[in-house]
Amino acid sequence: MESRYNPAKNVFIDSIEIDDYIALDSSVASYKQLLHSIEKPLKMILVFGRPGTGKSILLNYLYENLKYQKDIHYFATPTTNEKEFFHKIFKVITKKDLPSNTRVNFSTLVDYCRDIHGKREIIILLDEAQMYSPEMMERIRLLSDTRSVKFIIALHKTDKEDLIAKEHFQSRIWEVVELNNGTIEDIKNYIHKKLLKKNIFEIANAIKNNHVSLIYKFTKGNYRETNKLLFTVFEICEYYDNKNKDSNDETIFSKKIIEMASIKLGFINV
Amino acid sequence: MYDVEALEKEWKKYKRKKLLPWSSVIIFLILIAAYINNREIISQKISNYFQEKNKQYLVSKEQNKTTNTVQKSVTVPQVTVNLINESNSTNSTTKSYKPMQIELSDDPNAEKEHERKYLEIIVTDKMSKSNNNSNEELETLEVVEKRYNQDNNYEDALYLAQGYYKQEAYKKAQKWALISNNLNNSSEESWLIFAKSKAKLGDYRAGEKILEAYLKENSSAKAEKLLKMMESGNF
Repeated sequence: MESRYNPAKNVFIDSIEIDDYIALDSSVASYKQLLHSIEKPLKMILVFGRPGTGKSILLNYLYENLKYQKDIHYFATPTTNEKEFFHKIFKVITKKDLPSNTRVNFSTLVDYCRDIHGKREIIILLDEAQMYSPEMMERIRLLSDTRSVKFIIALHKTDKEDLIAKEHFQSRIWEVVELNNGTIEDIKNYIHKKLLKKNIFEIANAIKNNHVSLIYKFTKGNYRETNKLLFTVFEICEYYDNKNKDSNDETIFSKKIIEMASIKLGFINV
Repeated sequence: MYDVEALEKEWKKYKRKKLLPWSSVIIFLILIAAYINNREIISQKISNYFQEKNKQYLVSKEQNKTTNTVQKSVTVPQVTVNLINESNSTNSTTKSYKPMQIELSDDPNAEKEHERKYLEIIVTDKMSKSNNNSNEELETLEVVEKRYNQDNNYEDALYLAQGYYKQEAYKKAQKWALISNNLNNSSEESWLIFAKSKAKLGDYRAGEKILEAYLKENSSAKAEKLLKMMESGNF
């Protein structure tokens, strides 16, 4: 028989699936800000934040919500090969495939974008933009200057990427949506909403404020770290649940398990 | 799935590490609490300890004085002996003999030297060798007795009672036990010495009566034990 902790564990598998999107006050505010920015005549919008603050899921959520209303395209995985990347861009803009043995004539592509200005408004969501080379970024800027293509770029907030952002986009980006780690209240709501969304009421109720405080202490409100920690927590709970099947122990989820998971993940150095 | 058992062991280690500073603080607080609760007993013990030390120091000081006096009193015969030795041997006791010669002269410097030399004379050793421990203790008791005559101190009286009892001077022990009891009639020790001295002097019945009288008013395991010993003829 499957442990009752198994579904709870699967809830915290880190993903950017729209089903996993949790509408917290802070994330709803960021989403609204992004929607509002899209309506403005901007060339580039930067979604900026430390890893694990929800940039990818926000882009995906936006894409899923607007894909039937707007000419919107989501590039989840960065293509470091320039030829391949512009093949994809070419297809999005012209809606035609290029033979694989040909190269995109970039100036022709820019001219094409100028021609469609006012007729189409293409939105391209670029995740993990720190992976693109400065040359590719420069070409992206040239395309956005035609005002036919609007780029929404998700970028990690580290010192290095901060520099890239300054150098390549500061003068061209008109809007920045910054995502931060959650507060303790955000983390509490995040955990509970995630479990309740999958109808795991019993375990959601077992997670009290002191547990959330401990989780927050280790993850510092980072959503990815929270997912990782809770996945490991429920994995350990599953082990004890299977071990003591007959005892029907309701108190497996405890601070002890959170600390054990934190040791496992290196949050605690023994 | 990883080794959860090993992970649990690591967690226990982590918990122990985490609790270590707290347990030190708790032990420290317990010690402070214990001190606060027993402050009176602890300070009494400390003061008793220092009083005892002080008493020992005073007694030894007095004893030193007595020893010097004794030395002086026996100087003359010793010197005579030395003089005889001097006449018999040529070089054996020249040094100890010299001060006595100087003593006969009127030279004040020589007198001074004589005093110093006198203290170095092995006479003291000879005296101490001839004296046994009980003599020393008797001397101490005499000193304490003198002091008692000046101060009428209860502790001195009890000390004398204990001392004379130890020296098997039971009449004196009896006398000082009575004196100390007059100064502090709640003193169990004075009752016990009085009873024991009576018994040692052959009056076992009186000893038993004293203990019975004491036990009527007080409960004391020591007194009970002593009474049983007397009654059973084991004292």
